[in-house]
Amino acid sequence: MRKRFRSNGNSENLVGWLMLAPGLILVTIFMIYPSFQSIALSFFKWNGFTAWRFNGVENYIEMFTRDRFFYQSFINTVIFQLGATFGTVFVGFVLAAIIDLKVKLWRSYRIIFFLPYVLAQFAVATLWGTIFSPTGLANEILARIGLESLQVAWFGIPWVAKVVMIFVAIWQYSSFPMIFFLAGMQNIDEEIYEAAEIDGATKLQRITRITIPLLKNVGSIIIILQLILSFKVFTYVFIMTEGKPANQTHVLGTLLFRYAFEFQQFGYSSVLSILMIIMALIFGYVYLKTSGYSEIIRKKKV
Amino acid sequence: MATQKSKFGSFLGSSTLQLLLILWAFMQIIPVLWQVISSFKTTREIIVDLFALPKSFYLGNYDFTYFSEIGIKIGVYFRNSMLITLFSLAILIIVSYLAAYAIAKIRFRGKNIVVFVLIALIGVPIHALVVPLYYLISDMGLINRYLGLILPYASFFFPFTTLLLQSFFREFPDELIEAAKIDGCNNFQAFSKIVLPISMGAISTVFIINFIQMWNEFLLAYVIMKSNDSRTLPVGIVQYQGNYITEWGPLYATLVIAIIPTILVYLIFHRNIIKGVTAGAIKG
Amino acid sequence: MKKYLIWMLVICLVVSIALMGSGCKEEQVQEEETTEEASEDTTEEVAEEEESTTEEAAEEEEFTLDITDEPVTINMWANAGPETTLFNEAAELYMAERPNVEMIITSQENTFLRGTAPSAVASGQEEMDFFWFWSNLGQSMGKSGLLVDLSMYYENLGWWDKMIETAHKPMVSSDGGSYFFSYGHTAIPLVFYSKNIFDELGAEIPTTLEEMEQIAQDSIAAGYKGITNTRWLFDSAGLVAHFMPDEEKEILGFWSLMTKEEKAENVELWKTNTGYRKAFEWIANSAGNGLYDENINLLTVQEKHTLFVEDQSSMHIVGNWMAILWEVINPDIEFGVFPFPEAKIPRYFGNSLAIPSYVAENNPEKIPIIIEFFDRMLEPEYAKIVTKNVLVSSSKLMTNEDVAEVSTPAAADIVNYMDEVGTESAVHFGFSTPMEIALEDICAQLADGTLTVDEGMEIMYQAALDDLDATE
Repeated sequence: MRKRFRSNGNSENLVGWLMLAPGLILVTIFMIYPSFQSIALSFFKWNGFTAWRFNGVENYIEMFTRDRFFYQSFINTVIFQLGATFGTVFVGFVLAAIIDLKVKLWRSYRIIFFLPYVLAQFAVATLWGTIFSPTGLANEILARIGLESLQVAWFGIPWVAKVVMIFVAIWQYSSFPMIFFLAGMQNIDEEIYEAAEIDGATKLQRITRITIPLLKNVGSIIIILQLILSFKVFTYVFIMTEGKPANQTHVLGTLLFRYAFEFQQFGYSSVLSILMIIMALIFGYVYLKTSGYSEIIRKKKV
Repeated sequence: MATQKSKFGSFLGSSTLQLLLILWAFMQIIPVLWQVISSFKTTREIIVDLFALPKSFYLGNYDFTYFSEIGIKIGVYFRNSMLITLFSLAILIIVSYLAAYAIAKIRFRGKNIVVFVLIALIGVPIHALVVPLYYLISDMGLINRYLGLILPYASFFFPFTTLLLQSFFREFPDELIEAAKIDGCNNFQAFSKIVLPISMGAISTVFIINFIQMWNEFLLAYVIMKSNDSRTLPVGIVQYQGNYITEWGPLYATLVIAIIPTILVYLIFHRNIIKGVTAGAIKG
Repeated sequence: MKKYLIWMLVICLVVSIALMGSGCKEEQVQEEETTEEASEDTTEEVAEEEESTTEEAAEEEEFTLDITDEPVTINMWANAGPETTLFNEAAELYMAERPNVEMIITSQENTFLRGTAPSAVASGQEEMDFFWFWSNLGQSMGKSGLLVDLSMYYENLGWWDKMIETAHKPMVSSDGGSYFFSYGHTAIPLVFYSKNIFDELGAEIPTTLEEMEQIAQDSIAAGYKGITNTRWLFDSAGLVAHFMPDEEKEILGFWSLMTKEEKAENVELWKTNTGYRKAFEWIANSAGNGLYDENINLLTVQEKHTLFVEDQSSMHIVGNWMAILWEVINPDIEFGVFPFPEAKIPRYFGNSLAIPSYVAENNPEKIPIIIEFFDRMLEPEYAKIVTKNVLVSSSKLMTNEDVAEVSTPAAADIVNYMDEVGTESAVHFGFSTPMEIALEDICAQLADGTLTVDEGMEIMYQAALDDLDATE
């Protein structure tokens, strides 16, 4: 009898699904259906206006064995992800730690730090793109303070370009983890710190032995979240480097764009679409496990 | 709230920390400030000297009627962005609200699958699906139509929003609803008189977060809104970048205009953002 | 639950393939089965339609365009930037002449235009009535019957005679029809030089490649930066043609115009040709000798650069905005221009206009108007607008005084030069985007030293193979 809890809500079932329906319909039409279309399209060749031509697994074979840019762009995506994630998390943590001390004007800082977050990515990318262009602010400043030798074509050297883009991501999104950590820190009981101080702990130990362990949970969640969000990088690369020089700074998103819109190889670009969707699924699964959603769901059942 | 004395007395001196904070704050503001200042220079002035203060307060970049005549209709773009964003938000919030409530409060079969699918969809970027989406919307005849963006936006932001809202609902005490029912309300009245008012906080959080993302969305808007009169602001701004030269002055001016709504929304609601963002993701 | 999910997935997949594969794309699948016949049919149909319109119109021996008096709106997609300005101005001029016509110019960003124009044309959803495109990229659209055949207008309105550039012919045509109207001139590689520095070095305008190299070396010795150029230089006919024997030029110069069979026959030439190899060697040896510097563009030229080369230069030199910017950046520098030494062969660039065939089917009354607009583009008034904004107009009807009037005197020099050299032997040296991008990358990496000449040749060959594969 206990087991049949499901049957106590035939109408509940209906109501539940009804409330879910509009959203699910939207998502099915505009996300799931196009995903399946991508899957289908990846087995064909299509230039956008003639008919689809069946190509079997050729597209996949070509992408994984012969494509000169695929692996580089995959690695670049991962590099950006890791760089942006750990960069923003680290900076965010540091900022949060400092603000947590309620230094003067901490409230204003919190507001100011969140400012770049609300800006449009393309605006930020355009802005920093100008600043780091060969004749931009960055080089100007270097010249004026006498470090002319450090002047470089920021976007002309692949690894430098990637570092710049990671920097921009940190500039724009550090406040996101910062907020999380702040919230977490404010939940830490003051007495723990006081006890530690009595025992002679230094500030650094305070952070490493108390704050960090207590925030592990929050930390892992925010890391995964940032990984998911930074995986979507497109605008930064599209505007700042367009994959140059020599296609070495492409990420998966921009490579997809290139194959689809510049080369008109829509079937081929679908292989990338599918890869991205699969990776999103994997990240989603990891998020599910770490954030505790699945446990809550299970609890509900019991 | 912990009370703090300046604990970092010896090691890092609170002045060092202050310095770090100021430095970072400086870095956050300066680029934007520079852009605003540059918007009052002519393009040539900008190219010649990036740092110089404007020779005179040049307002030509803000002369939107002029640009309108040569086809860059900022006013139109602004209106389009506004309408599309607001309508998308309306649909999104209604739809997510219902779904979130269902997930949080109602027991039904198959909830697990649904939740998993939603979480998985958070990570799917719009650009992965932009090609099939384009053809889908084209087949629906919605190219250059508001709905052509509104519906996809509502769909793409639905998973994350739903998950945010459902965590809010989980915290919502059932007893209040029970109490209302005992007092004679039916389900619907309980909903509108008790639940709805209290959830205004969460709704406004969700409003801001999605407003920012929709207002700034670039790729899909680019692909779907191809006629000049239906373009959104981000798309319109890119027009300043010609093949051979970018008109920096007007570009910055338009960016300034584009930033204003988001900043306003942010300043009014910033506490909500903070609360909402932390609540949804951590506690689940 | 897992099994359930998997089954759901499989079903969805099958349904999607079924839907996509057959449903919406039915027409195209059938088209595919009979591609050759189908495209011939549509071309014939379109030609027939136009024949019948002109039959009605041409009651006399004269060929006339039957232009309605009713109000008509024409939508055009133009490339973002100066081209949009160009067409806005031209449209204004035309609308003054034809008050019942309203022309709306919508600017589209370059890459997106490339990506979405073909599908816009194919979808028949009438988003525009004519559009700007590159004729070499649009060849397949023409062959698929998606564009209106303009041959009869070329013939009857004397366009071939009014245009300087007879090299246009192969570029705008495919399989017997002419699908594009070219309003702008070919680019020959041009070199901009600082007269100040030349004076200082006592240099004279070089007429051979060696002379130019010498000047570059001298300028480096004097503390300047030699030749800088954008990546496009080495895509130019000038350099490759300089090194390429005629028999190779005949083939590789017209690669993008070949049919699949012809390409298959000739693809090995990409491996064995000497022209690209020598050009690559030149690049590899030049960088670091003051002969190549990738990160410069026209706007960043400061007084340190002796020479710089812009392949799409006939666009730049004649745009007034360039001249103005130079004055602003450094009014003390006087710039001059000369053609890239030994660049005998002008290279056709491909700025053209085309009309989707759905216009002929659904709104045939618009066709004569658009054609008339094209025709006007060759008139001096309009040609001056082209020259002022973007590149030297194709029109023969424009005199050198006209050119000088709206642009710099140097532009007139270029036109003279091209008249001298003649354009009958022009080759294209332009390919599909993947090949162009491959070439760009190769040049950049050769200059960096991160690629060898052999590797570069191999990449070009692979790109050509891919292109062969992608050719319909």
